[in-house]
Amino acid sequence: MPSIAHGRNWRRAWAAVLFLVLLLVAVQSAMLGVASLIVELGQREVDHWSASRKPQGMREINRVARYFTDSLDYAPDNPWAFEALGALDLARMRLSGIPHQALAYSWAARQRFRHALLERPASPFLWANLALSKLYLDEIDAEFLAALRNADTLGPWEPRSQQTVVFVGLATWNKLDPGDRRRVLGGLERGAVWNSGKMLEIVKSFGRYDLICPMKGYHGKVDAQCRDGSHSVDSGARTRQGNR
Amino acid sequence: MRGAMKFELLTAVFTALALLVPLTTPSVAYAQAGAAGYVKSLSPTVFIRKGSGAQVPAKVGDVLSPGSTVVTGAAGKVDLLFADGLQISLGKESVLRIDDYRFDAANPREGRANISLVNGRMSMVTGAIHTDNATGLRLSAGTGTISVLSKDVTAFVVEVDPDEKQRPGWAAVTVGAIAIQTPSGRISQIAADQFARWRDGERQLEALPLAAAPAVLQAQVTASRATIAEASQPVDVQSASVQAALMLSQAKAQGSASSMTTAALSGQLNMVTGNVQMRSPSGAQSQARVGDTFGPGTTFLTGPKGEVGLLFSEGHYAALGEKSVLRIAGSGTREADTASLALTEGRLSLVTWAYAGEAPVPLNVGVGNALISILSKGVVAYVVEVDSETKDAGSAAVTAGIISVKTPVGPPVAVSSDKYTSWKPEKPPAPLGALAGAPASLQLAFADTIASAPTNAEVAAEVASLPPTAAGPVPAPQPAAPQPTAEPLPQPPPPVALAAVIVPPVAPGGGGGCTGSPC
Repeated sequence: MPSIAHGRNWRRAWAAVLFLVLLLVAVQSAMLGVASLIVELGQREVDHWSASRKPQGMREINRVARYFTDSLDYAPDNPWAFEALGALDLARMRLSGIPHQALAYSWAARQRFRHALLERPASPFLWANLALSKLYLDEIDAEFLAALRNADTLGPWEPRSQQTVVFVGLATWNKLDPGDRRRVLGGLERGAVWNSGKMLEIVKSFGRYDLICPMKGYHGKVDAQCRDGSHSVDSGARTRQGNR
Repeated sequence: MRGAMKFELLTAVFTALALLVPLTTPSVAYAQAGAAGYVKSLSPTVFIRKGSGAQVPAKVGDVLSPGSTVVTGAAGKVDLLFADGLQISLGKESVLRIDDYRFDAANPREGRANISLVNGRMSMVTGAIHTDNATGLRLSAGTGTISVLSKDVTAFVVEVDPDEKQRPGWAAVTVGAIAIQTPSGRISQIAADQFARWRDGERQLEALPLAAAPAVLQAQVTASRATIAEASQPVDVQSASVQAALMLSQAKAQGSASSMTTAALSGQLNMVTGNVQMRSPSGAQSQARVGDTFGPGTTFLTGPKGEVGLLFSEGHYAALGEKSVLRIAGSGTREADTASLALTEGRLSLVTWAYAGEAPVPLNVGVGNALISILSKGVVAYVVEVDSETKDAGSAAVTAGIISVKTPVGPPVAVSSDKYTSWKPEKPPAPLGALAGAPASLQLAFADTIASAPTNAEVAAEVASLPPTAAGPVPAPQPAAPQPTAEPLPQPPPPVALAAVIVPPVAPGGGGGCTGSPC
């Protein structure tokens, strides 16, 4: 009889332990769920901005950023929250008219992207955004090149990643080696498939029609500019003349 | 007879006068011999060097003549308005020389202006001399020359430092187009929303979209857009200068003019969350509100979940975390070993700025019984925390620049970017560790600081225009009425910039998060 009672006590003890473990998991899940919900709410606002293409003011950006910072109370290492905050920091940088503030926003963005990469090293978006923040900090260094390469390698068909790789690539064209330039050209070629409108905007802003004139994906879209004479792909050795 | 002669004599005199007046009173602008323009507004320190070599401090309303040189000091800024409507704003540590200037409103085609930016940064909006005479405006910047290509009003920013060969010169255009002949070569066109940089010996010169410019450059251009105020129409320099001086004296009489001192720490609250109390030197305490101003002797106390953002008139920004106490030194002076800010409890994040070339910012922060000083020039950003249990213990993490941590025990320790340290009672600071290994609270605090940093340039401008106040809440100043713009300015950078900002799809639940192909 004592052995039956003893066994029952063990079972109760195990049940209690399991219950506690389950309770802990439930609480953790709930917090992660709340964090994700808050992040989702913030992301919807951002998606709405992107769809409307209406410039947002600093107060509005700060308001939405609050969603993401609040989510960190529930999930302190949520990489998506860091990523979104970093992107909002870059948006704030563009609006700022105070040099040190703009610099601080760029720094904050770089730090957040670095932090998020610790959790999501395979995200092409994070690498692309890191390269962008480095561009704004005027840090064209090994980390910048690594970010550009990783973004291209990990997300060769991701439109947003492509756009950023092409953007930062064209901005630093003269500092890229032939291999990195081929990456940027590859991004332009792939971008012609699903992303040609955005790619054309970027190319136009840099005045680099010469890079896309030989690409079949852009035939019929830049014929006038290519006939104008900017149709030879070069290594960038010639001095640029700016937009005509 | 006598009356008739008198009448004839008077008639002759009046007739002679009527003939002579037009000859002796030419058109307004030309009669103001030597009056090229005037000082419309300024922040100290600004000097005017006359053609004779004499240098005098500049005041609002001062008239500039050909041969004058305008010099701004380490914190100086000045806005100049010329007779033809040409607007020039000079940044700090800049030198502008007016080599030649002639303008006749009645005959604008004959106008000439030859202006040189010897050193520093200049924003310019062209006036009638350029629009009416394509070759009338001659500009030089450092050892280069600027050609204004567009026929209409053109606005651009240029910065040069011919003495420092490694520092790039740059130019950005907001309206119109320019070309620049630099020591390294010619940049044939910089169009609207483009910029270009050049450095001694660099052969690749190109104009790039402004959206790809470094953050500091973009911010400077953004600020220059905000200062393009009145229409660039010809002005009567003499009367406008007198009017400007009168307005300033009236403003001073009403106590609303800028009288920023560099010694006293003062500013305005730009963010308040939760329970934040503000205590004046007299002991009066009240709930802090956004817009409240503070000065020497003010103490901030935050409760649980309370946070407050302090925007200093010098441009620094501090964020005080929850359950914290921060006091601003009463004397307002900056001594080498004296704290200007004293953190006795909780956490403080600080982002400060010193223009490259100046000495490090004299802004010491006491953290418990430790003293934090800034060692490096340029932007410095760090977070400090007083141990919640032991007030003589604390930690400091740096994300930009270099600071010094000095405790009562042992020599000071320099903490550089991406490093942190901590200290305990009766012990010197611990060896530096990588910031990535710092407690999460320190890491997050910095990110939060930037998230709540000043909203826009107007806030900073408002703060700069506040006189140093005694501690205690005062009604928040009304924002300045918006100035009319000269002409429609281009919109912010085109959507391509937004396209380049990635806001990735959020995967709920912290899962894989990779969408699209390949993954």
